[in-house]
Amino acid sequence: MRVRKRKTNLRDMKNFTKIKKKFMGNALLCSIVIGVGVGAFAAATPIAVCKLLELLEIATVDLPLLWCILGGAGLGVLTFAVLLLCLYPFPKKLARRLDKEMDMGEKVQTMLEFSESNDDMAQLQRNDTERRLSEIPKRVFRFKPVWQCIVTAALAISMVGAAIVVPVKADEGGSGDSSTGPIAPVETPFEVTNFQLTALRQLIEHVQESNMQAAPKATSVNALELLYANISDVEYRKDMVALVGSTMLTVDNAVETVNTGFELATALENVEHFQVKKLSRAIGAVELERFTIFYADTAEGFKDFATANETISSFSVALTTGLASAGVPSDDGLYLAIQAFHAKVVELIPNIQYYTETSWPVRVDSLFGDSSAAISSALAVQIENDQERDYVIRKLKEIFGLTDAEMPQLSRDFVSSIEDDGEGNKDEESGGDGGLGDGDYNFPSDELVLDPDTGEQVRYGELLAKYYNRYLAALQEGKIDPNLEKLLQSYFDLLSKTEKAS
Amino acid sequence: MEKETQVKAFSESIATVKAELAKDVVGQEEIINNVLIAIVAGGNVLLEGVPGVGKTRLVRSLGRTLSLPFSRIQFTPDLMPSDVTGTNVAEKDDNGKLNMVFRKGPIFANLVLADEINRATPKTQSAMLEVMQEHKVTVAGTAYRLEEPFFVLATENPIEQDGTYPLPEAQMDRFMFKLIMEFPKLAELKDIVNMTQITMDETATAVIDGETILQMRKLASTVPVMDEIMEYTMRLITNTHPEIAGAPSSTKKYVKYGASPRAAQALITCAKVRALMNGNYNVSYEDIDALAYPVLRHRIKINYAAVNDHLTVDDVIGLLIKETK
Repeated sequence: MRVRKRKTNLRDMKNFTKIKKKFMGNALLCSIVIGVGVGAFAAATPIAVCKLLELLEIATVDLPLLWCILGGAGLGVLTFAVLLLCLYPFPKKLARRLDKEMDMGEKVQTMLEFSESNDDMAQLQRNDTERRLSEIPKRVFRFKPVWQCIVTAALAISMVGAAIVVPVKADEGGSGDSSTGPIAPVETPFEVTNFQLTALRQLIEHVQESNMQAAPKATSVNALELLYANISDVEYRKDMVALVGSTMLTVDNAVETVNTGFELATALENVEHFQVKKLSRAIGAVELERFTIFYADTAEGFKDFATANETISSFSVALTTGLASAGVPSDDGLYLAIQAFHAKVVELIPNIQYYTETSWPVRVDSLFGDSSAAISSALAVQIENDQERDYVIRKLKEIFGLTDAEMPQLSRDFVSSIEDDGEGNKDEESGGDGGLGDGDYNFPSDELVLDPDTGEQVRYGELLAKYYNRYLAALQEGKIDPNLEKLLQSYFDLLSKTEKAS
Repeated sequence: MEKETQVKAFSESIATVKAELAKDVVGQEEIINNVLIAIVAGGNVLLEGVPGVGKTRLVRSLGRTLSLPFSRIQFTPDLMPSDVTGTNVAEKDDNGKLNMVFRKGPIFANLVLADEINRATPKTQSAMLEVMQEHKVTVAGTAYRLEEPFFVLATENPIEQDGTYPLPEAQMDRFMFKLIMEFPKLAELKDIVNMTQITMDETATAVIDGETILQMRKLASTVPVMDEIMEYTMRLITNTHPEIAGAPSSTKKYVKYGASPRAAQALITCAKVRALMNGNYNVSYEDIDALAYPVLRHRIKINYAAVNDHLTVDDVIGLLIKETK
């Protein structure tokens, strides 16, 4: 009677065990070859592809090498494990294979199933099977590299070779396009060129010869000299970006420290007096021409003789309040000029009684005219500081090829679209074809401002459009002084520039 | 090891018997193999063949070789059951007293050739088949056991069907094998004629006895069969039934009804014997596949669709094996 086995016992099956070990070795070898091949292929393929894309200038992909290697290794290990599991010579699986391939007539499987049986016939069967297994030539179990191993190895070698051989496109640093583009890889090497050093030296000389105020000039020159000294030691682009950005910030801060125009204009703008607000606009103007226009507009408000006393008194109080809230150093040039102007305005109050309706406007013009030079002179210094700061920053960006994304956070938006001629002179855009009744004017700002006529908050663009229409109407009626016509036209032209940055 | 000696003796005995039989029976190796398997396995064989192919000679030679008493029963329509089993007859003893004495019929032999069993009436057939099943004869309430090994080789004439009583399927099931004795090949026919020109007598001599057969039977029963082969065999038998869910398409198309569990028993038992005969210590798929034909061909009933497609029972069995694998 057949004795049922409980489990497979390979103890008395030496030949079967030997064959099993051979198959195990073959499985291990095959799994290792294919696993390593797959891992190498998986790691090398993205590297080779990215290098190729960069070389052909199709795209630049920031691919961390470590992740590629780790990913490849992981996939290789997984492949190895799965393959080993598939190829592992489990006893039953091996027995089935031997019976089939060696035409053993289910002897090996039967031997395995009755391995624990002590029955005489089962033992005889076991011995007979073992004898037959021992008669199988050893060369039958030798490792034969299956085609999968060969193909995987070939693919892996070719892809690794490609990853090594394909060159990386050299990065010139600064000579390329500075417009917004893909961010260069973090570890891109950097080597300063002679061109860059020469341009930097020229920039330093330019700043030294500029009309920048002494303090920011000295700071800017020092920062640029420091950059010049250290840039040659920089090895990577990211370090270069950091160094240049730091220089830009130093220059920017140096100018911001001395330029009080913005703070003063802001403080005066917050005062609820439309004449003071006009003065604020004059001070906050970027160019002197605009300052002149706004300043003249402010003066007009004082010429009404009937209300002059009241106008001047309220203006004086409001200006005092505004200046007090400005928070600028009391020895600031612009502040002092405005203070002097204020003092002269105050002097007018007790003397109004001595003027007539005809002589009063002349007196006002005289007062404003006297103060204009001092204020505009102080303003000019600050404008010069601003312009020089803008020039330095733009030049640095251009020399070292920084992208907009690599620019540091400056005190205000740096407009990279404004071109210059290399001498600090901005290319002023006409903002349109100009001329009478010509073109559509876009008054760009949606900022809310006080409408002096109605006392309501309206859009800045809307208000300017109203003023422009009045100008056109006055022009047609012949009420504009021919000497002022060109000035007024330029004024409106400047204001109608569309914002290219958007 | 004693078992090893027994196995060696088994192989040698079979080889010797075959060699002896070859002296009297030309060719028919497969028939001889299967008959020997059936004898060792303890089953009976239904032999189909045209007259004159050597059926009687085979059984007679077998009886001589195996040292087993042989008898031949020629079945005719007028044969009674008592003609087969024997009957009580009244006999006067020396004292003149009448006694009922049981006269054994021709069935009381180890090897019985039941010639043209399909010519006998169903009643006689059933008496015969009962003996084949139980290995005993019951007459007037007294049971007479037949001596082991007991083997019946029944024949059917496939040509003359007039006046015959085909065996019902239930009776057919009692035969372990159905073998088809083919007409000898040209070379074999020549050998037969040459041999019988010299002498018509059987020259095979006794090489083993009944006791050896019984020992061989016992030895064969210990041959291991692995679970997978066992399951394959069961699936094969189950797949002969078209009504069972999952039956193969060939069964559903060509089989009217399938084999009984006796077929499974027969297959496994005979496979063990075949394995040992071939010098193997375990049953293989090849053993099962080879024996599926003689075991199943009389147990499966094919339908008209098979006949229409010119398929024989063996063809259907072949399809069945293919689809079961």
